[in-house]
Amino acid sequence: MPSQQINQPSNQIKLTNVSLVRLKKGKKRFEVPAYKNTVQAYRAGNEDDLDNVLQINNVFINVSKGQVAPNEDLKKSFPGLTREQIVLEILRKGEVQVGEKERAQELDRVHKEVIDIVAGRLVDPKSKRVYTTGMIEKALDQLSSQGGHAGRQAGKTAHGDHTGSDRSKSRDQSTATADGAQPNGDAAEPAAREATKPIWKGVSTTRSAKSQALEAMKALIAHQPIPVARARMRLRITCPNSILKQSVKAAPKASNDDDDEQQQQAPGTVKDKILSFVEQVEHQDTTSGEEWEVVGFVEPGGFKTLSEFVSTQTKGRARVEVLEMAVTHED
Amino acid sequence: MPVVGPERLVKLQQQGDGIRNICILAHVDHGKTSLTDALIATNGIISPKLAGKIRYLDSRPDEQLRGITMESSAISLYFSLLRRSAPDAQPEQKEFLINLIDSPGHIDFSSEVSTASRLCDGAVVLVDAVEGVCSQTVTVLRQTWTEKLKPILVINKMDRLITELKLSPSEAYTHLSKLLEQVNAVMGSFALGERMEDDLRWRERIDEKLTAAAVAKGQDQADSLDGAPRGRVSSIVQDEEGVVTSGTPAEYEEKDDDDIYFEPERNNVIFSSAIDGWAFTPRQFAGLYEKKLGIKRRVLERVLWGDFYLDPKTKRVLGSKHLKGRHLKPMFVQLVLENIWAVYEATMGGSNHKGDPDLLQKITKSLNINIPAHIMRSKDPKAILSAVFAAWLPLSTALLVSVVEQLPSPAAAQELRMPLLLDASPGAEHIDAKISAAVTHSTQTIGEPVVAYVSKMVSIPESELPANKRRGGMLSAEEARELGRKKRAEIARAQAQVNGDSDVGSLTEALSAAAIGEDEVADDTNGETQKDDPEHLIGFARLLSGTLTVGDEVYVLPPKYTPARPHAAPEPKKVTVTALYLLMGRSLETLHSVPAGNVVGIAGLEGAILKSATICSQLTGAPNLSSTSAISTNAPIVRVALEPVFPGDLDRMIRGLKMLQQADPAVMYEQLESGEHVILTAGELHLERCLKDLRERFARCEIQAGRAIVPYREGIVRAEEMNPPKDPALGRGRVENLTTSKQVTIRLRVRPLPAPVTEFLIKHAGAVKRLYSERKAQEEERSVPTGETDPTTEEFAVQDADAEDVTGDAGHALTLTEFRKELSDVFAEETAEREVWKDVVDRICSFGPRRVGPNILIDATKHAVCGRFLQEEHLTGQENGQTDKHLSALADKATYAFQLATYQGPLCNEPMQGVAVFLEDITTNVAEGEASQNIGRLTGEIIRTTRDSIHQAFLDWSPRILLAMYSCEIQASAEVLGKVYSVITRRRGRIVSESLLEPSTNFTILALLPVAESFGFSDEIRQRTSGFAAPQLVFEGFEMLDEDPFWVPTTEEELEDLGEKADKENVAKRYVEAVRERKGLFVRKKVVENAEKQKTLKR
Repeated sequence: MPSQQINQPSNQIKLTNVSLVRLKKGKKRFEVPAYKNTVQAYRAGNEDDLDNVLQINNVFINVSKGQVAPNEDLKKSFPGLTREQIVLEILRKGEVQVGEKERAQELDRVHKEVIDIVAGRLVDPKSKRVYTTGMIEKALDQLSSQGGHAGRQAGKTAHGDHTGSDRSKSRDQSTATADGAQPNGDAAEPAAREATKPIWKGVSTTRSAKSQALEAMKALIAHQPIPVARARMRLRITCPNSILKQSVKAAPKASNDDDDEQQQQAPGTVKDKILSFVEQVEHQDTTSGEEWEVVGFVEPGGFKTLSEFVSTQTKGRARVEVLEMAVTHED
Repeated sequence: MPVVGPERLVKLQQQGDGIRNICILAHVDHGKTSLTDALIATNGIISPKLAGKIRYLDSRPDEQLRGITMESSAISLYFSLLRRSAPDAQPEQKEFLINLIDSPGHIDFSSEVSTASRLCDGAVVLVDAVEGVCSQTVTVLRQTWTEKLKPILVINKMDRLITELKLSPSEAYTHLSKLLEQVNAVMGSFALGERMEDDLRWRERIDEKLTAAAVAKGQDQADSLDGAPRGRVSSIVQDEEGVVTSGTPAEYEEKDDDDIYFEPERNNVIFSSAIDGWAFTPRQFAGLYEKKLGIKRRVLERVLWGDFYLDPKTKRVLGSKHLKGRHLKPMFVQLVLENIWAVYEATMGGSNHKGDPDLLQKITKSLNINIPAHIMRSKDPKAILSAVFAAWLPLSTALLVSVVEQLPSPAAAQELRMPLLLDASPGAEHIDAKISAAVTHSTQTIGEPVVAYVSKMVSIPESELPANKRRGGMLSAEEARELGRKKRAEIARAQAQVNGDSDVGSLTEALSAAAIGEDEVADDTNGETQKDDPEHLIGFARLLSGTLTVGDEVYVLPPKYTPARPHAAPEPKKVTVTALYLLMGRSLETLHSVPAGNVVGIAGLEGAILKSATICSQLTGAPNLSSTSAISTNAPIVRVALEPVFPGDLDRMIRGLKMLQQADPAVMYEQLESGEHVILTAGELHLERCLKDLRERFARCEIQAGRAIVPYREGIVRAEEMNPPKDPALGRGRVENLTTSKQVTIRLRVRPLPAPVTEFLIKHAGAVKRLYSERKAQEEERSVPTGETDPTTEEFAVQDADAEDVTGDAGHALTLTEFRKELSDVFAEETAEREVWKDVVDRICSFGPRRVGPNILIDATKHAVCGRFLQEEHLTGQENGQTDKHLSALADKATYAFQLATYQGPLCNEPMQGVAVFLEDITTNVAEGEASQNIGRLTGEIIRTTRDSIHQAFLDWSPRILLAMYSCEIQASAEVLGKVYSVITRRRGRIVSESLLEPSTNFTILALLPVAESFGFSDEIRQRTSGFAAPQLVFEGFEMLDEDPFWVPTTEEELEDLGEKADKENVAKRYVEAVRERKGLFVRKKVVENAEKQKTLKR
């Protein structure tokens, strides 16, 4: 058929620079052709020029074939809307193809946010100073390049000749973790521990930065590529003296059964129990009146349990006050 | 040349008047190191052929590579002179020891220059004959002036006048006299400055006298009721009498300033060409022509430079007025320059630049010098040239003779300099008379107090120490000599042991040396010596009095030490001198003891000295010569943050940085609160050197340098045109929010604090902090009343003040009541909205962020649920008892939320500044029991809600970003003033003031520069002004950028002017977005700017 074009590579028209926004409505699928990497910006309100988003202000059934949506279909699916309004509707609600630049930017943003959070919460256990974001980033890179497993260490050191060995040596010096323990025979035991260690494989855009940051912190603390520890919280706990002397009673309804047993066996009073949470007591005040007060540092993980314990045991007569969320060295 | 063994030098060290300590100073590339080479060649350390090319004292590889000196280094040279004590006496040989210090010329290393000049008695200042006086020349001349060093001027690179500029001898003479004038003008300006100061002081004194006398007279006048005129006349007469009798000369006595200028006839100017190896003083030529012309040498010396002419017929010297129109050349041209030009013509001139053999023949004959045949045959004209000059006018002779004759010996120099230096040092009146006498007279006898000044610490790898030096690939003869030297050292050591069995110090030293030797063997087997070669720090010191011996115990006095309080913290350390070294450029020679007046390397000071110090054998009454005020060093200004490439190397890097800080006087290292490791260096070049040192010597790990993080602050203002408040019913800045579980309602209002209040709070941050710690202490022991602070808190406060105090006056003990009063005074100053700020002080419950910041949380609730911070303790207690426990538990959370909110503002998570939060209401709609049941969950909710509310309310005002500012002081000459201004304005800086620095023509410009724009500032300003402007940056504080980062044109006019997108760049927005991007916060940014123009590759 001479009238019909012969399908050859040279005369194929491929869509370039087009990203489709699709919306299924009334069993029909509608498409709007947009420029790549623009729809997210439009939805976020950063781009207000519609000409910079849409290739053409029209609705299609199939963009690549050039099939414009028939009027009756539109009327059926979007009753009472003009074609322009339908385009906007699709642009707002339809499913989009995320462009690579958009994805990269989002990933980058989340990455930075995660690192910023992690850097604010981790300190050098010796000096209690925070690390810079750059240091945290490098440490996490090191973890993710190991794939979260220290077992692949041999492969990792192979890539750097002199500097690589240099680094692993210093790593061994600074942290006596399972990394260093590997060569001395019983490989099975550390390997088993390795498996249970939290791993870090880089950020993803699907989950919130905060939860990923928590994960990253766990991985860093477990592997210790640089000496890190979580910054402690500083709390003030005040409690009436009368309650202090009481032995820990089983919380009647809130706690679980096994906890009860443990608590009953525990010899301590409420005071002992509270103090067991506090890692380092800054000062304790027992002399004044009926109130007992302690200010000390608490591991952030234990804060919730402590807070719950105090409120249930003392029926709100004791208070836990956060003086500082993350204690770091101050000049 | 014969090689001079170190033992000969050691012998010479003992005779004080045979020592000269000199440093060589000049602008970059004026030939300091080449000149030094020529001197070193005389001692046979390097070949004379290579002198000027090898740059022996540039021992660092990067120094050789770049061709500039970066570290000052010292070498001891031997020089002997035949001298006649009387004109007809037999010449006798006199030996001299010259301790030479070569200094870097680049401005980045100017601190090295000042340390070098402190060690010396005289200076050799070089000036390029073509380039003339450059910026650093002025600096080094000023250095010699302030340090009271005796200078000699060397006009170097004379060959460039001949070969490059192709000047004729008379042109060269004019050029040289102009150059000399320039130099003398510089010297004169220093003298003028000092003279004017003297003059001022003198005038003040006279004025005082006059007024005092006038007062006395006035009383007289009041007594005598006679006519006024007579009284006045008599009073004036008596005034004059008073002045005269009081001994002050009525006429200001002009100081004789002749001796400060450089004049060839005074023999303190040398003409030289270090590269061709020649130099001369007019005196030398005077000696040459004495016989020929039959003019007395002394006369000839005086007339050889200047407007003097030789009458060709009568052979008499004429002044310029006796010329009578004859066209004669000055004597200097005729007798000196023309001859030198002739030699150049004979060797390198001619038609084919190959020289003129006939002329050469004539010259050699008349000069009566022999040039070896193999050189004569040589194709290289340079070789012949240097051979002629080496025989005729050798560089070393001219220079060293002048040094020996013109510059003072240590004893003479100390006599002049030390009294001044001692007076300038802190606590001068407490210095022991015995010590000051010993220092002034440079007494060498053992038993006299030992005083030494350590100018810097030099880091030397262990393998380079003489105890265990191994040289691979050296000449065998050299090696043999080395061995012999070692042997001798050993013998000396053994002798020392025999001499004093009780001398435990030397014994241990020997033992340690042995131990080091063993180490070395172990290292060899290891094969990793290069890597594990530790660095040793050696003090670069000048011994001022006494004799220092290995094993001596001495006190190290830190720069902050003052003899008034010798035992003040930090207590000076007592250290044992483990070894002494003779500094020979890149190699060291071990010494056993050193007498006063020498420059020496001292080992064993490691850890005791940071940068510079004074060493003294006794603690009380010791002078402090290293005090910071006495030495002018430019504060380092280039800041960068360092980070190891591999995070595990952090410890090494920190160790390395600490070492670098010790080894380099111009480096400062600090660790910031943000965890950054920041070093400050004097310039970009200096930074490069520091990084190289860190990588290769001190830290031995890969290190990255980057910009330091710039801090910002967020604030709010009441702007003229603001967007209408979000909720008009509540008014601006007021927000009411319900927590997510709908249990607690929080209402609060945010207002900008009056500027004076913010300022007050920033200034007294230390005081607030102290109040907190005081409160803490109070809670511990309630018996102590507030009024009197117990010693522990006092000490606390002092430390606080030391640590973080910006202004210095916050350290004053502001008690609670004082602080309250002052704060309420500041509030009272604010006239607008008086009723808002009334009684605010009483209701303050917290400062933030970190409980000390310049933001206030004010309790405006009805029940006063929050604890009041600025209240006496017992009052708070009472109120607490009355208030609802349960609500106050919630208020605690709100207070904490306030801390969080002010720590991370809504603009870009930077701390807020100058914000007042009024907590107006906090209510719950649940029963108390229930609330306390799930307090855990409520805590989070309240914190979140309060923080968000504060942020919301903050944004209801017109937000501003505050930039960290440097106050920048620039000294610049008038010519480059415009360039300085353009650099500052381009970097968004602001000129604060500009003043002429009398009496020089330099201006002092005071400007404010945003820290964010300061990266590369010093480099740019130096480049633009060719080094004639020297900036100094000091952190000043935060300044508001008066631009709303969220502003977009709204009104019709603005839209018309600026278009929809506000084409004018919003600077505040740019800063905010840069920070947000760094922190991974949400930024309103398009992914692609022009969608259609994306790169669309076909796949």
